[in-house]
Amino acid sequence: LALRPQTRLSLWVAGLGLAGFAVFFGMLQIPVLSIPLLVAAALGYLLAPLLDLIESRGRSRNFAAVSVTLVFLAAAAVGALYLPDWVGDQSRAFAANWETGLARLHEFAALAENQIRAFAPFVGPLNLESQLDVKGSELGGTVLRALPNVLVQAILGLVMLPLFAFFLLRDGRLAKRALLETVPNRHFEMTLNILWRINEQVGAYLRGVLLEAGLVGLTAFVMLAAGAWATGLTGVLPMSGILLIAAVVGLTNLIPYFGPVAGGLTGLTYIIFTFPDSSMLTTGVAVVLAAVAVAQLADNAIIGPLVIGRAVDVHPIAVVLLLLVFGRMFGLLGLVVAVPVWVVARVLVSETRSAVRSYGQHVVDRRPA
Amino acid sequence: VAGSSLWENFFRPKGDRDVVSEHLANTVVFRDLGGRALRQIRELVHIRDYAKDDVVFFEGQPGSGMYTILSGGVRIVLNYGRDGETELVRLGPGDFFGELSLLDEAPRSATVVATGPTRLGGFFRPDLMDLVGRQPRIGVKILLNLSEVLSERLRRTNIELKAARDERNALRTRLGD
Repeated sequence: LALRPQTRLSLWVAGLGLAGFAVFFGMLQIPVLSIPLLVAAALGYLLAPLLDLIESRGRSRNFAAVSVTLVFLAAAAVGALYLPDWVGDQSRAFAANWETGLARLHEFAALAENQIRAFAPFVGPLNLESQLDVKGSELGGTVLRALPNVLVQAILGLVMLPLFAFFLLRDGRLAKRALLETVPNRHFEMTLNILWRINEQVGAYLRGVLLEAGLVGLTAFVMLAAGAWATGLTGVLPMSGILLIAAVVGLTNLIPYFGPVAGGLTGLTYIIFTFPDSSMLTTGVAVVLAAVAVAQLADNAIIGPLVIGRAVDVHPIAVVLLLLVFGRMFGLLGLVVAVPVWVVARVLVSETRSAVRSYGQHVVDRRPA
Repeated sequence: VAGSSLWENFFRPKGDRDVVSEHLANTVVFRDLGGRALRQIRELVHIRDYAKDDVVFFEGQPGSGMYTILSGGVRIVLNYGRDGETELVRLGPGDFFGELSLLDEAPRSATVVATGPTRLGGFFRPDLMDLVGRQPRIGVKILLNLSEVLSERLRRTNIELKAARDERNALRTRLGD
Protein backbone atom coordinates (compact mmCIF):
# COMPACT_ATOMS: atom_id res chain seq x y z
CA LEU A 1 0.00 0.00 0.00
CA ALA A 2 1.62 3.24 -1.21
CA LEU A 3 0.95 6.07 1.22
CA ARG A 4 1.89 9.72 0.85
CA PRO A 5 4.79 10.77 3.13
CA GLN A 6 2.44 13.13 5.02
CA THR A 7 0.00 10.27 5.63
CA ARG A 8 2.81 8.02 6.84
CA LEU A 9 4.06 10.73 9.20
CA SER A 10 0.54 11.38 10.51
CA LEU A 11 -0.02 7.66 11.09
CA TRP A 12 3.30 7.37 12.89
CA VAL A 13 2.61 10.24 15.28
CA ALA A 14 -1.03 9.21 15.75
CA GLY A 15 0.15 5.67 16.61
CA LEU A 16 2.72 7.08 19.03
CA GLY A 17 0.11 9.35 20.64
CA LEU A 18 -2.46 6.55 20.91
CA ALA A 19 0.15 4.22 22.44
CA GLY A 20 1.01 6.95 24.96
CA PHE A 21 -2.62 7.52 25.87
CA ALA A 22 -3.28 3.76 26.09
CA VAL A 23 -0.40 3.39 28.58
CA PHE A 24 -1.71 6.42 30.50
CA PHE A 25 -5.29 5.13 30.69
CA GLY A 26 -4.02 1.67 31.61
CA MET A 27 -2.06 3.24 34.46
CA LEU A 28 -5.14 5.08 35.70
CA GLN A 29 -6.70 1.67 36.34
CA ILE A 30 -4.02 1.06 38.99
CA PRO A 31 -4.46 4.04 41.35
CA VAL A 32 -1.86 2.77 43.83
CA LEU A 33 0.74 3.26 41.09
CA SER A 34 -0.76 6.04 39.01
CA ILE A 35 -1.56 8.52 41.81
CA PRO A 36 2.02 8.78 43.19
CA LEU A 37 3.37 8.74 39.64
CA LEU A 38 1.05 11.55 38.55
CA VAL A 39 1.80 13.59 41.67
CA ALA A 40 5.54 12.97 41.13
CA ALA A 41 5.22 14.05 37.47
CA ALA A 42 3.34 17.20 38.54
CA LEU A 43 6.05 17.90 41.14
CA GLY A 44 8.67 17.25 38.46
CA TYR A 45 7.13 19.88 36.18
CA LEU A 46 6.65 22.27 39.09
CA LEU A 47 10.19 21.92 40.41
CA ALA A 48 12.05 21.68 37.09
CA PRO A 49 12.84 25.43 37.06
CA LEU A 50 14.22 25.17 40.62
CA LEU A 51 16.50 22.29 39.63
CA ASP A 52 17.64 24.21 36.56
CA LEU A 53 18.44 27.17 38.82
CA ILE A 54 20.52 24.96 41.15
CA GLU A 55 22.32 23.47 38.14
CA SER A 56 22.99 26.93 36.70
CA ARG A 57 24.91 27.67 39.95
CA GLY A 58 27.38 24.96 38.96
CA ARG A 59 25.88 22.01 40.86
CA SER A 60 25.16 18.65 39.28
CA ARG A 61 21.66 17.40 38.44
CA ASN A 62 22.19 14.65 40.97
CA PHE A 63 22.96 17.17 43.73
CA ALA A 64 19.95 19.30 42.75
CA ALA A 65 17.58 16.28 42.75
CA VAL A 66 18.92 14.97 46.06
CA SER A 67 18.71 18.42 47.74
CA VAL A 68 15.15 19.10 46.58
CA THR A 69 13.99 15.59 47.59
CA LEU A 70 15.65 15.94 50.99
CA VAL A 71 13.97 19.32 51.59
CA PHE A 72 10.62 17.71 50.74
CA LEU A 73 11.29 14.73 52.99
CA ALA A 74 12.27 17.06 55.83
CA ALA A 75 9.08 19.08 55.33
CA ALA A 76 7.07 15.83 55.27
CA ALA A 77 8.81 14.67 58.48
CA VAL A 78 7.98 17.95 60.24
CA GLY A 79 4.40 17.63 58.96
CA ALA A 80 4.24 14.03 60.21
CA LEU A 81 5.27 15.24 63.71
CA TYR A 82 2.35 17.65 63.92
CA LEU A 83 -0.17 15.63 61.90
CA PRO A 84 -1.37 13.27 64.69
CA ASP A 85 -2.13 16.22 67.03
CA TRP A 86 -3.84 18.11 64.26
CA VAL A 87 -5.95 15.12 63.17
CA GLY A 88 -6.78 14.50 66.83
CA ASP A 89 -7.94 18.10 67.34
CA GLN A 90 -10.12 18.04 64.24
CA SER A 91 -11.58 14.62 65.08
CA ARG A 92 -12.40 15.74 68.64
CA ALA A 93 -14.06 18.91 67.32
CA PHE A 94 -16.16 16.81 64.92
CA ALA A 95 -16.98 14.13 67.53
CA ALA A 96 -17.98 16.70 70.18
CA ASN A 97 -20.50 18.33 67.85
CA TRP A 98 -21.57 15.32 65.79
CA GLU A 99 -25.14 15.15 67.09
CA THR A 100 -25.53 18.93 66.86
CA GLY A 101 -24.21 18.87 63.31
CA LEU A 102 -26.67 16.16 62.27
CA ALA A 103 -29.53 18.06 63.92
CA ARG A 104 -28.48 21.20 62.02
CA LEU A 105 -28.47 19.31 58.74
CA HIS A 106 -31.98 17.96 59.51
CA GLU A 107 -33.13 21.45 60.36
CA PHE A 108 -31.68 22.73 57.10
CA ALA A 109 -33.34 19.91 55.09
CA ALA A 110 -36.74 20.62 56.68
CA LEU A 111 -36.35 24.36 56.03
CA ALA A 112 -35.33 23.72 52.41
CA GLU A 113 -38.31 21.40 51.84
CA ASN A 114 -40.74 23.94 53.32
CA GLN A 115 -39.31 26.70 51.15
CA ILE A 116 -39.50 24.58 48.01
CA ARG A 117 -43.11 23.58 48.69
CA ALA A 118 -44.03 27.18 49.48
CA PHE A 119 -42.67 28.34 46.14
CA ALA A 120 -43.85 25.30 44.15
CA PRO A 121 -46.89 23.73 45.84
CA PHE A 122 -47.42 21.34 42.91
CA VAL A 123 -44.21 19.49 43.92
CA GLY A 124 -45.01 16.39 45.97
CA PRO A 125 -43.33 15.50 49.26
CA LEU A 126 -39.57 15.38 48.80
CA ASN A 127 -38.80 13.77 52.17
CA LEU A 128 -35.44 15.55 52.26
CA GLU A 129 -34.88 14.65 55.91
CA SER A 130 -35.33 10.90 55.41
CA GLN A 131 -33.35 11.12 52.14
CA LEU A 132 -30.59 12.77 54.17
CA ASP A 133 -30.58 9.86 56.63
CA VAL A 134 -30.55 7.23 53.87
CA LYS A 135 -27.84 8.96 51.81
CA GLY A 136 -25.85 9.73 54.96
CA SER A 137 -25.79 6.12 56.12
CA GLU A 138 -24.99 4.95 52.55
CA LEU A 139 -22.09 7.40 52.38
CA GLY A 140 -20.92 6.37 55.84
CA GLY A 141 -21.00 2.70 54.84
CA THR A 142 -19.10 3.39 51.61
CA VAL A 143 -16.46 5.41 53.45
CA LEU A 144 -16.04 2.73 56.14
CA ARG A 145 -15.76 -0.05 53.55
CA ALA A 146 -13.25 1.91 51.43
CA LEU A 147 -11.23 3.23 54.38
CA PRO A 148 -8.82 0.27 54.90
CA ASN A 149 -8.07 0.08 51.18
CA VAL A 150 -7.60 3.85 50.93
CA LEU A 151 -5.29 3.86 53.97
CA VAL A 152 -3.09 1.08 52.52
CA GLN A 153 -2.97 2.89 49.14
CA ALA A 154 -2.16 6.19 50.86
CA ILE A 155 0.71 4.65 52.85
CA LEU A 156 2.10 2.88 49.75
CA GLY A 157 1.68 6.10 47.77
CA LEU A 158 3.51 8.14 50.40
CA VAL A 159 6.40 5.66 50.30
CA MET A 160 6.55 5.62 46.50
CA LEU A 161 6.06 9.35 45.92
CA PRO A 162 9.54 10.54 47.00
CA LEU A 163 11.15 7.67 45.06
CA PHE A 164 9.23 8.45 41.87
CA ALA A 165 9.77 12.19 42.32
CA PHE A 166 13.52 11.77 42.87
CA PHE A 167 14.06 9.56 39.82
CA LEU A 168 11.82 11.68 37.60
CA LEU A 169 13.70 14.81 38.64
CA ARG A 170 17.10 13.21 38.19
CA ASP A 171 16.56 10.93 35.19
CA GLY A 172 13.55 12.44 33.40
CA ARG A 173 15.81 13.78 30.66
CA LEU A 174 17.55 10.40 30.30
CA ALA A 175 14.20 8.63 29.96
CA LYS A 176 13.14 11.05 27.21
CA ARG A 177 16.41 10.40 25.38
CA ALA A 178 15.93 6.65 25.73
CA LEU A 179 12.44 6.99 24.25
CA LEU A 180 13.81 9.03 21.34
CA GLU A 181 16.42 6.33 20.66
CA THR A 182 13.61 4.00 19.61
CA VAL A 183 12.26 6.44 17.00
CA PRO A 184 13.18 5.53 13.39
CA ASN A 185 15.64 7.89 11.67
CA ARG A 186 13.08 9.18 9.16
CA HIS A 187 10.82 10.48 11.98
CA PHE A 188 13.52 11.42 14.48
CA GLU A 189 13.90 15.19 14.08
CA MET A 190 10.15 15.71 13.80
CA THR A 191 9.44 13.60 16.90
CA LEU A 192 12.18 15.44 18.83
CA ASN A 193 10.59 18.78 17.95
CA ILE A 194 7.04 17.64 18.73
CA LEU A 195 8.11 16.23 22.11
CA TRP A 196 9.97 19.42 22.96
CA ARG A 197 7.05 21.68 22.09
CA ILE A 198 4.56 19.48 23.92
CA ASN A 199 6.84 19.36 26.96
CA GLU A 200 7.19 23.16 26.97
CA GLN A 201 3.46 23.83 26.62
CA VAL A 202 2.29 21.10 28.99
CA GLY A 203 4.95 22.10 31.54
CA ALA A 204 3.86 25.74 31.42
CA TYR A 205 0.20 24.72 31.68
CA LEU A 206 0.70 22.32 34.61
CA ARG A 207 2.89 24.81 36.48
CA GLY A 208 0.18 27.39 35.87
CA VAL A 209 -2.62 25.11 37.12
CA LEU A 210 -0.70 24.15 40.27
CA LEU A 211 0.30 27.75 40.95
CA GLU A 212 -3.33 28.79 40.41
CA ALA A 213 -4.55 26.18 42.93
CA GLY A 214 -1.93 27.38 45.45
CA LEU A 215 -2.86 31.04 45.01
CA VAL A 216 -6.60 30.31 45.25
CA GLY A 217 -5.94 28.35 48.48
CA LEU A 218 -3.83 31.24 49.78
CA THR A 219 -6.56 33.79 48.94
CA ALA A 220 -9.16 31.63 50.70
CA PHE A 221 -6.82 31.33 53.72
CA VAL A 222 -6.30 35.09 53.96
CA MET A 223 -10.02 35.80 53.52
CA LEU A 224 -11.05 33.18 56.08
CA ALA A 225 -8.49 34.44 58.61
CA ALA A 226 -9.54 38.07 58.03
CA GLY A 227 -13.23 37.13 58.18
CA ALA A 228 -12.80 35.15 61.41
CA TRP A 229 -10.85 38.01 62.99
CA ALA A 230 -13.32 40.70 61.85
CA THR A 231 -16.39 38.78 63.08
CA GLY A 232 -14.84 37.55 66.31
CA LEU A 233 -14.96 33.88 65.29
CA THR A 234 -11.31 33.14 66.10
CA GLY A 235 -12.36 31.19 69.19
CA VAL A 236 -14.55 28.71 67.26
CA LEU A 237 -12.77 28.77 63.89
CA PRO A 238 -9.14 27.97 64.80
CA MET A 239 -6.18 28.45 62.47
CA SER A 240 -5.97 24.67 61.89
CA GLY A 241 -9.61 24.70 60.65
CA ILE A 242 -8.94 27.70 58.42
CA LEU A 243 -5.89 25.91 57.00
CA LEU A 244 -7.95 22.76 56.32
CA ILE A 245 -10.74 24.64 54.52
CA ALA A 246 -8.25 26.73 52.49
CA ALA A 247 -6.27 23.61 51.50
CA VAL A 248 -9.45 21.87 50.32
CA VAL A 249 -10.57 24.99 48.42
CA GLY A 250 -7.13 25.15 46.72
CA LEU A 251 -7.00 21.44 45.88
CA THR A 252 -10.57 21.20 44.61
CA ASN A 253 -9.83 24.18 42.38
CA LEU A 254 -7.95 21.68 40.18
CA ILE A 255 -11.40 20.44 39.07
CA PRO A 256 -13.08 23.11 36.93
CA TYR A 257 -16.60 24.33 37.84
CA PHE A 258 -17.47 21.53 40.27
CA GLY A 259 -14.27 21.96 42.31
CA PRO A 260 -15.12 25.35 43.82
CA VAL A 261 -18.62 24.06 44.74
CA ALA A 262 -17.05 21.01 46.42
CA GLY A 263 -14.56 23.28 48.22
CA GLY A 264 -17.34 25.55 49.46
CA LEU A 265 -19.47 22.60 50.60
CA THR A 266 -16.50 21.17 52.51
CA GLY A 267 -16.07 24.51 54.28
CA LEU A 268 -19.78 24.64 55.16
CA THR A 269 -19.71 21.03 56.43
CA TYR A 270 -16.76 21.94 58.65
CA ILE A 271 -18.65 24.92 60.10
CA ILE A 272 -21.90 22.95 60.58
CA PHE A 273 -20.13 20.08 62.37
CA THR A 274 -17.60 21.98 64.51
CA PHE A 275 -19.34 25.16 65.68
CA PRO A 276 -20.58 24.52 69.21
CA ASP A 277 -22.74 27.62 69.38
CA SER A 278 -25.61 27.85 66.88
CA SER A 279 -25.84 31.62 67.26
CA MET A 280 -22.51 31.95 65.43
CA LEU A 281 -23.47 29.52 62.68
CA THR A 282 -24.87 32.11 60.28
CA THR A 283 -21.77 34.28 60.65
CA GLY A 284 -19.51 31.24 60.12
CA VAL A 285 -21.41 30.20 56.99
CA ALA A 286 -21.26 33.79 55.68
CA VAL A 287 -17.48 33.97 56.30
CA VAL A 288 -16.87 30.68 54.45
CA LEU A 289 -19.14 31.59 51.52
CA ALA A 290 -17.57 35.06 51.25
CA ALA A 291 -14.02 33.63 51.39
CA VAL A 292 -14.77 31.02 48.68
CA ALA A 293 -16.56 33.62 46.54
CA VAL A 294 -13.66 36.11 46.81
CA ALA A 295 -11.14 33.34 46.03
CA GLN A 296 -13.16 32.38 42.94
CA LEU A 297 -13.55 35.99 41.87
CA ALA A 298 -9.81 36.55 42.26
CA ASP A 299 -9.16 33.34 40.31
CA ASN A 300 -11.44 34.27 37.42
CA ALA A 301 -10.45 37.92 37.24
CA ILE A 302 -6.75 37.93 38.13
CA ILE A 303 -5.04 34.64 38.99
CA GLY A 304 -6.32 32.47 36.10
CA PRO A 305 -5.69 34.98 33.30
CA LEU A 306 -2.27 35.85 34.75
CA VAL A 307 -0.81 32.40 35.41
CA ILE A 308 -2.51 30.31 32.74
CA GLY A 309 -3.67 32.81 30.14
CA ARG A 310 -6.05 32.07 27.35
CA ALA A 311 -3.70 29.80 25.40
CA VAL A 312 -5.27 26.66 26.77
CA ASP A 313 -8.87 27.79 27.06
CA VAL A 314 -11.23 24.84 26.89
CA HIS A 315 -14.90 25.44 26.04
CA PRO A 316 -17.16 25.09 29.12
CA ILE A 317 -19.33 22.45 27.40
CA ALA A 318 -16.18 20.44 26.59
CA VAL A 319 -15.06 20.76 30.23
CA VAL A 320 -18.42 19.46 31.54
CA LEU A 321 -18.43 16.55 29.07
CA LEU A 322 -14.82 15.69 29.92
CA LEU A 323 -15.55 15.75 33.64
CA LEU A 324 -18.62 13.54 33.20
CA VAL A 325 -16.79 10.97 31.06
CA PHE A 326 -13.52 10.93 33.06
CA GLY A 327 -15.35 11.04 36.39
CA ARG A 328 -17.50 8.08 35.34
CA MET A 329 -14.45 6.13 34.12
CA PHE A 330 -11.82 6.93 36.76
CA GLY A 331 -13.64 8.53 39.69
CA LEU A 332 -12.03 11.43 41.56
CA LEU A 333 -8.67 10.88 39.84
CA GLY A 334 -10.45 11.18 36.48
CA LEU A 335 -11.95 14.53 37.50
CA VAL A 336 -8.49 15.91 38.34
CA VAL A 337 -6.75 14.68 35.17
CA ALA A 338 -9.62 15.25 32.70
CA VAL A 339 -8.76 18.78 31.54
CA PRO A 340 -4.93 18.36 31.58
CA VAL A 341 -5.27 15.17 29.49
CA TRP A 342 -7.50 17.05 27.05
CA VAL A 343 -4.98 19.90 26.85
CA VAL A 344 -2.11 17.44 26.19
CA ALA A 345 -4.17 15.71 23.46
CA ARG A 346 -5.00 19.06 21.86
CA VAL A 347 -1.36 20.22 21.91
CA LEU A 348 -0.30 16.84 20.46
CA VAL A 349 -2.79 17.12 17.60
CA SER A 350 -2.00 20.76 16.75
CA GLU A 351 1.79 20.26 16.95
CA THR A 352 1.57 17.06 14.90
CA ARG A 353 -0.55 18.74 12.24
CA SER A 354 1.92 21.60 11.89
CA ALA A 355 4.99 19.29 12.02
CA VAL A 356 3.56 16.84 9.47
CA ARG A 357 2.83 19.79 7.17
CA SER A 358 6.34 21.25 7.44
CA TYR A 359 8.32 17.97 7.45
CA GLY A 360 6.18 15.72 5.26
CA GLN A 361 5.96 17.93 2.18
CA HIS A 362 9.72 17.74 1.65
CA VAL A 363 10.11 13.97 1.90
CA VAL A 364 11.22 12.48 -1.41
CA ASP A 365 10.38 8.80 -1.78
CA ARG A 366 12.13 8.16 -5.06
CA ARG A 367 15.80 7.31 -4.81
CA PRO A 368 18.05 8.54 -7.63
CA ALA A 369 18.90 6.02 -10.33
CA VAL B 1 17.08 2.28 13.55
CA ALA B 2 19.85 -0.22 13.26
CA GLY B 3 21.05 -1.28 16.70
CA SER B 4 19.06 1.13 18.82
CA SER B 5 16.81 0.27 21.73
CA LEU B 6 16.05 1.41 25.25
CA TRP B 7 18.34 -1.34 26.51
CA GLU B 8 21.27 -0.26 24.35
CA ASN B 9 20.82 3.38 25.32
CA PHE B 10 21.28 2.61 29.01
CA PHE B 11 24.04 0.06 28.51
CA ARG B 12 25.91 1.54 25.57
CA PRO B 13 29.62 0.74 25.93
CA LYS B 14 31.71 3.51 27.52
CA GLY B 15 34.07 3.48 24.50
CA ASP B 16 31.35 5.13 22.44
CA ARG B 17 31.33 8.07 24.80
CA ASP B 18 35.08 8.63 24.35
CA VAL B 19 34.65 8.71 20.56
CA VAL B 20 31.81 11.22 20.90
CA SER B 21 33.85 13.41 23.28
CA GLU B 22 36.84 13.35 20.94
CA HIS B 23 34.74 14.39 17.96
CA LEU B 24 32.94 17.06 19.95
CA ALA B 25 36.23 18.57 21.12
CA ASN B 26 37.32 18.87 17.48
CA THR B 27 34.08 20.52 16.36
CA VAL B 28 34.32 24.30 16.01
CA VAL B 29 30.95 24.79 17.77
CA PHE B 30 32.30 23.15 20.93
CA ARG B 31 35.84 24.59 20.67
CA ASP B 32 37.57 25.76 23.87
CA LEU B 33 35.07 24.09 26.16
CA GLY B 34 36.51 22.34 29.19
CA GLY B 35 36.34 18.61 29.89
CA ARG B 36 33.39 19.00 32.25
CA ALA B 37 31.41 21.04 29.74
CA LEU B 38 32.15 18.53 26.99
CA ARG B 39 30.98 15.70 29.24
CA GLN B 40 27.71 17.56 29.80
CA ILE B 41 27.24 18.12 26.07
CA ARG B 42 28.08 14.48 25.34
CA GLU B 43 25.11 13.50 27.51
CA LEU B 44 22.88 15.60 25.26
CA VAL B 45 24.15 14.17 21.98
CA HIS B 46 21.85 11.67 20.25
CA ILE B 47 23.73 8.82 18.59
CA ARG B 48 22.00 7.74 15.36
CA ASP B 49 22.95 4.87 13.04
CA TYR B 50 22.19 5.00 9.31
CA ALA B 51 22.43 2.41 6.55
CA LYS B 52 23.71 3.23 3.05
CA ASP B 53 21.36 5.67 1.21
CA ASP B 54 19.38 6.48 4.37
CA VAL B 55 18.38 10.14 4.37
CA VAL B 56 19.42 12.13 7.47
CA PHE B 57 17.15 15.04 6.53
CA PHE B 58 15.53 16.40 3.40
CA GLU B 59 16.09 19.76 1.72
CA GLY B 60 13.34 22.17 2.80
CA GLN B 61 12.53 20.47 6.11
CA PRO B 62 12.72 22.68 9.21
CA GLY B 63 16.22 22.59 10.68
CA SER B 64 16.50 21.24 14.22
CA GLY B 65 20.21 20.97 14.88
CA MET B 66 23.64 19.79 13.81
CA TYR B 67 25.30 16.44 13.28
CA THR B 68 28.91 15.39 13.68
CA ILE B 69 30.08 12.30 11.81
CA LEU B 70 31.43 9.66 14.22
CA SER B 71 32.02 6.99 11.58
CA GLY B 72 31.12 6.41 7.94
CA GLY B 73 30.21 9.34 5.71
CA VAL B 74 27.49 11.40 4.10
CA ARG B 75 26.93 13.24 0.85
CA ILE B 76 25.18 16.58 0.66
CA VAL B 77 22.80 16.76 -2.27
CA LEU B 78 20.68 19.45 -3.93
CA ASN B 79 17.38 18.43 -5.57
CA TYR B 80 17.67 14.90 -4.20
CA GLY B 81 15.60 12.40 -6.19
CA ARG B 82 14.48 15.12 -8.60
CA ASP B 83 15.64 16.54 -11.90
CA GLY B 84 18.89 18.41 -11.55
CA GLU B 85 20.15 16.38 -8.61
CA THR B 86 23.59 17.71 -7.70
CA GLU B 87 26.03 16.36 -5.15
CA LEU B 88 27.72 19.30 -3.42
CA VAL B 89 30.22 17.57 -1.17
CA ARG B 90 31.05 14.35 0.67
CA LEU B 91 31.90 14.46 4.36
CA GLY B 92 33.70 11.93 6.53
CA PRO B 93 34.49 11.17 10.18
CA GLY B 94 35.14 14.32 12.24
CA ASP B 95 33.19 16.56 9.84
CA PHE B 96 29.99 18.24 10.91
CA PHE B 97 26.99 19.81 9.19
CA GLY B 98 23.72 21.65 9.95
CA GLU B 99 25.22 23.75 12.75
CA LEU B 100 23.28 26.90 11.80
CA SER B 101 20.03 25.08 12.53
CA LEU B 102 20.97 25.39 16.17
CA LEU B 103 20.02 29.05 15.85
CA ASP B 104 16.79 29.00 13.90
CA GLU B 105 14.28 26.74 12.20
CA ALA B 106 15.20 27.89 8.71
CA PRO B 107 14.60 25.15 6.10
CA ARG B 108 17.49 22.77 5.43
CA SER B 109 19.36 23.98 2.34
CA ALA B 110 20.19 20.49 1.05
CA THR B 111 19.44 16.81 1.57
CA VAL B 112 21.99 14.71 3.47
CA VAL B 113 22.34 11.02 2.55
CA ALA B 114 24.51 8.34 4.19
CA THR B 115 27.14 6.93 1.81
CA GLY B 116 27.48 3.69 3.76
CA PRO B 117 26.89 2.44 7.30
CA THR B 118 27.23 5.70 9.23
CA ARG B 119 27.08 6.75 12.86
CA LEU B 120 26.19 10.38 13.59
CA GLY B 121 26.05 12.38 16.80
CA GLY B 122 23.17 14.86 16.70
CA PHE B 123 23.00 17.97 18.87
CA PHE B 124 19.68 19.77 18.64
CA ARG B 125 18.22 23.18 19.38
CA PRO B 126 15.84 21.98 22.15
CA ASP B 127 18.86 20.56 24.00
CA LEU B 128 20.85 23.76 23.39
CA MET B 129 17.94 25.83 24.78
CA ASP B 130 17.79 23.56 27.79
CA LEU B 131 21.56 23.86 28.27
CA VAL B 132 21.44 27.68 28.03
CA GLY B 133 18.85 27.66 30.84
CA ARG B 134 20.73 25.21 33.06
CA GLN B 135 24.34 26.05 32.25
CA PRO B 136 24.39 29.61 30.89
CA ARG B 137 28.20 29.77 30.76
CA ILE B 138 28.46 26.71 28.51
CA GLY B 139 25.46 27.87 26.48
CA VAL B 140 26.94 31.32 25.91
CA LYS B 141 30.27 29.79 24.87
CA ILE B 142 28.53 27.61 22.26
CA LEU B 143 26.49 30.56 20.99
CA LEU B 144 29.71 32.64 20.73
CA ASN B 145 31.37 29.84 18.75
CA LEU B 146 28.33 29.72 16.48
CA SER B 147 28.55 33.49 16.03
CA GLU B 148 32.18 33.09 14.99
CA VAL B 149 31.17 30.50 12.41
CA LEU B 150 28.48 32.86 11.14
CA SER B 151 30.77 35.89 10.97
CA GLU B 152 33.48 33.85 9.24
CA ARG B 153 30.94 32.71 6.64
CA LEU B 154 29.65 36.25 6.19
CA ARG B 155 33.22 37.47 5.70
CA ARG B 156 33.88 34.77 3.10
CA THR B 157 30.59 35.51 1.36
CA ASN B 158 31.48 39.20 1.23
CA ILE B 159 34.88 38.38 -0.28
CA GLU B 160 33.27 36.07 -2.84
CA LEU B 161 30.60 38.66 -3.60
CA LYS B 162 33.25 41.33 -4.07
CA ALA B 163 35.24 39.01 -6.34
CA ALA B 164 32.09 38.26 -8.36
CA ARG B 165 31.31 41.99 -8.66
CA ASP B 166 34.89 42.74 -9.73
CA GLU B 167 34.65 39.96 -12.29
CA ARG B 168 31.32 41.29 -13.57
CA ASN B 169 32.71 44.82 -13.80
CA ALA B 170 35.80 43.54 -15.60
CA LEU B 171 33.59 41.65 -18.06
CA ARG B 172 31.42 44.74 -18.60
CA THR B 173 34.50 46.84 -19.24
CA ARG B 174 35.86 44.21 -21.62
CA LEU B 175 32.52 43.93 -23.45
CA GLY B 176 32.27 47.74 -23.54
CA ASP B 177 35.69 47.96 -25.12
